[in-house]
Amino acid sequence: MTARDFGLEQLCPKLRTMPYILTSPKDPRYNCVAFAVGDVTQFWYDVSINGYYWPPSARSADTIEGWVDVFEIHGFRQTDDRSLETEYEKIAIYASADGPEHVARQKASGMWISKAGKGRDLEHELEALEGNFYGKVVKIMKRKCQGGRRVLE
Amino acid sequence: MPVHNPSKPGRARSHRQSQKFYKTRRRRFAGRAEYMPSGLHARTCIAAPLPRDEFVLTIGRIPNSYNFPTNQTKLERIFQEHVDLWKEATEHCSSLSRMIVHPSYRRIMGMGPAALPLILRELKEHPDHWFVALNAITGIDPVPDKSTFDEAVRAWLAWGVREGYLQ
Repeated sequence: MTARDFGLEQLCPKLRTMPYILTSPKDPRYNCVAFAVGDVTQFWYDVSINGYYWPPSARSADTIEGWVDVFEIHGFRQTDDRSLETEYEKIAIYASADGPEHVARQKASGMWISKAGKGRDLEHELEALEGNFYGKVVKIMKRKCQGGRRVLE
Repeated sequence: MPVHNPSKPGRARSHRQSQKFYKTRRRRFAGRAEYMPSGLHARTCIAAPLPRDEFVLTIGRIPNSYNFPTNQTKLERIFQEHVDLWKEATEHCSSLSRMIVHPSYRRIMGMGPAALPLILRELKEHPDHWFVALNAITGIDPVPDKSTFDEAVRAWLAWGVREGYLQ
């Protein structure tokens, strides 16, 4: 696996100056939403054909509200605090003017990890993916660690 | 019994004339559609009912009006160019909507049934999000409910083999 994703750096120029680590090969089977809730077998999107998954009670995958619904179903609640709180797991939703674009989850180390579309998983700073392509972080959500332990690392 | 001919208002054909008309159309279409795989050609053009002139004329006009590739090699080359463009442009997209509105994806869907063997081969060799295109072209969804991505790929490939689009 190469140490850099030049395609992604082109889309997110802050990656050129901020540290990041690629942690998986390219994989079209799952996307950032799936990865954020720990599923690497399905691409989470609401489309009326089989082979995709979207929680039935969640609103459209093309809206921020829809993404918020998904994470609320998984026990996350909205917050403004993007710092590391050891007793909480956090996710951050990036959005552009066109709608939600990306989501990352925070690791115990304070770094964030996410799946770049059909590409690779990567560990990165939260701000490193902000820019024209993924937009800006618009929502932070958190859930209490269960029994003091994170569900996902 | 006279049959109304919509292309010539006010004129009617006998049943025999009508049969001859459709037979000629089929032959003409068969001659033009060399870009289509033979299996598909047989299904859409010969076996499928031809209820209206409109159907035959629309399908038959496509190659000339829209400069569709006229042979398999050219079709494959153009298909591969669009696949490469689409993959590069959408690699980091999380949104399926964005992926499928990309011009190359739309162009591939626009190739219609002729692209089916190519899409299925691509799906087999490099699995990716071709389910929407396959569904749009065929109008069916052979993937069982609650399938994962891998299961969806397997279902479409099995369909392709069953229908003769894949070896």
